[in-house]
Amino acid sequence: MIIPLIFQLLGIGLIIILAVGVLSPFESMGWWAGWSEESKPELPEVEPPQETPGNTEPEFNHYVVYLSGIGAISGDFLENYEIAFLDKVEARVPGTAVVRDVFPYSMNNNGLTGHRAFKSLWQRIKDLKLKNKQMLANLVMLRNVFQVAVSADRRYGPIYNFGTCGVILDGLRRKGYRVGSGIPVTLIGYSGGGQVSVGAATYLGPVLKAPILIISLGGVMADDPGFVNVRHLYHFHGQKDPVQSLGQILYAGRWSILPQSPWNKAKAEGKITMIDAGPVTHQDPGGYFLQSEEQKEKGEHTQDRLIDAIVEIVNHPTEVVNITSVEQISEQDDHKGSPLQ
Amino acid sequence: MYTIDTSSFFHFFQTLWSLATGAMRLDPAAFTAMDTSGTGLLAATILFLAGVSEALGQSVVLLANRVKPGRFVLSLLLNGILFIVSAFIWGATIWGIATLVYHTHEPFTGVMKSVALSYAPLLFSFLTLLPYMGTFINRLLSVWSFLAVLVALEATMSLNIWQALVCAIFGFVFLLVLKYTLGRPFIALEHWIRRATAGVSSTVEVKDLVEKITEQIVENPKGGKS
Repeated sequence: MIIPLIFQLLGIGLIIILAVGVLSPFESMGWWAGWSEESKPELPEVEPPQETPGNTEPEFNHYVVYLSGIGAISGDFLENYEIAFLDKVEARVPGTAVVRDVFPYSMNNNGLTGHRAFKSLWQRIKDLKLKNKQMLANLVMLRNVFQVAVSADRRYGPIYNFGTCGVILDGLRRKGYRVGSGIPVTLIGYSGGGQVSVGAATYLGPVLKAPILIISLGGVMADDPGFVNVRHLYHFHGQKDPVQSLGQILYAGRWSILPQSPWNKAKAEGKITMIDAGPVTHQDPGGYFLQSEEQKEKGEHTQDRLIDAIVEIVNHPTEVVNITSVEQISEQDDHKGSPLQ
Repeated sequence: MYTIDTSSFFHFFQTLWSLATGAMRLDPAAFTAMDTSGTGLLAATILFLAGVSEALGQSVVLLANRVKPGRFVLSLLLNGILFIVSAFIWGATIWGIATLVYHTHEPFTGVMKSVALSYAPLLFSFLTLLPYMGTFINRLLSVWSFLAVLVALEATMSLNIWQALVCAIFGFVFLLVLKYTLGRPFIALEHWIRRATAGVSSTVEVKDLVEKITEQIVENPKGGKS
């Protein structure tokens, strides 16, 4: 009795996954085709250089944009531990603006609880999430994981990544960034946000004409053509995080047998630094942001070391920071050495 | 055993599904069942639906060219019709080669209907939409459909598997040669019909999109419609 029921449930689950997957490209494709009435895809505007001498000094000399993981519901809703992480980083990077209201899994920064079909379903899931009931939050992950796959797909990526480039540009502008100013931009992408960052770099490069750095926190990334516009990628990988290695397994362009792939070319050019993030998992607590009870008991402060490493990178946007492990940071602090190459 | 019952809308689709699943299982009986009267519409429907499904799977091509919703649906339907035409030409080629080389005597209509049924795996072509694995699924379905053609020829033309393979491959090569020689005006006509149905004057290839958008960004620093 129970076995057929299990198979039926598995079948229903598979059909739901396939349905979500098959429909996943239509949001960005429909947006591109102009089917969505709310807003149309537009080319980004590059402001001419300011001529008034009094206004030439920019408020910030570096911009950081945070792109959340596949559990994200909207740009204005981050987990508490993500907010705490960004607060800590922001406090230690003077002169750097931190953009934290970008939703990387839709066009136009339209969060799942924004104006869209099934808005009430996503709102209900968000409410449950706030009450720590995570079961239905898996639907958000399923939806967003397919958006990451859309970004990485060579058929849909060119359009999806154009959309997210626009979303990131809007976020930068909200913080006063002037396109054409050449001010460096660092994208911090957690999980699926890593792929979205690299994908968006495809267009951010020609639009910004500024150094683009990517800090990937357990990012799942494909061999995206956007790597050509990335000045440097710092990929933090947790010792207990098998999810971040999915990109390396699933995308042939990340295998060493294809040396001409964008990933392998970037690697050969020394544009990718792999950093051991210590004993962290993909999800929190115990992940890249929040210390777990077990870590507290053991006296492990890996997440703090991670912040130290990120601060070091963000404070040197035009240089390559030579870190291979977050533990290295504390050792270097002890010896007053510099991790800069 | 397959019962051909097209007496009502429901029975028609029940029979269609039964034959299609039989073809997907590569069951020879499903193909021989097509060699009876009253199966012509079933064969055409399978081809039409497979064509619509294939166009849906490849809809990024239409959407990248900003086809309007109504034109999008029309383009899907057009692909269904063009699928029938192309299957008819391929079936005729295979039948011609089998008749000339192996001196088979089966009537063309029976063979044609079996070949049409072998397109059944392509009913799932819409799965090509899936990001990451879509392209692989598309290739898998093409191979599956090709294997179904071989079984169809084996079952309906009394050919062995190697003879069926020769007919299918030579049929394919012949069509390819035809496409780039005598068939050029027809291909141009097909492209014109597709463009007219989609309502676009020229088509952008998906692989060229990044380059085109980047060019526009560089050439239009003032922004505007992409």
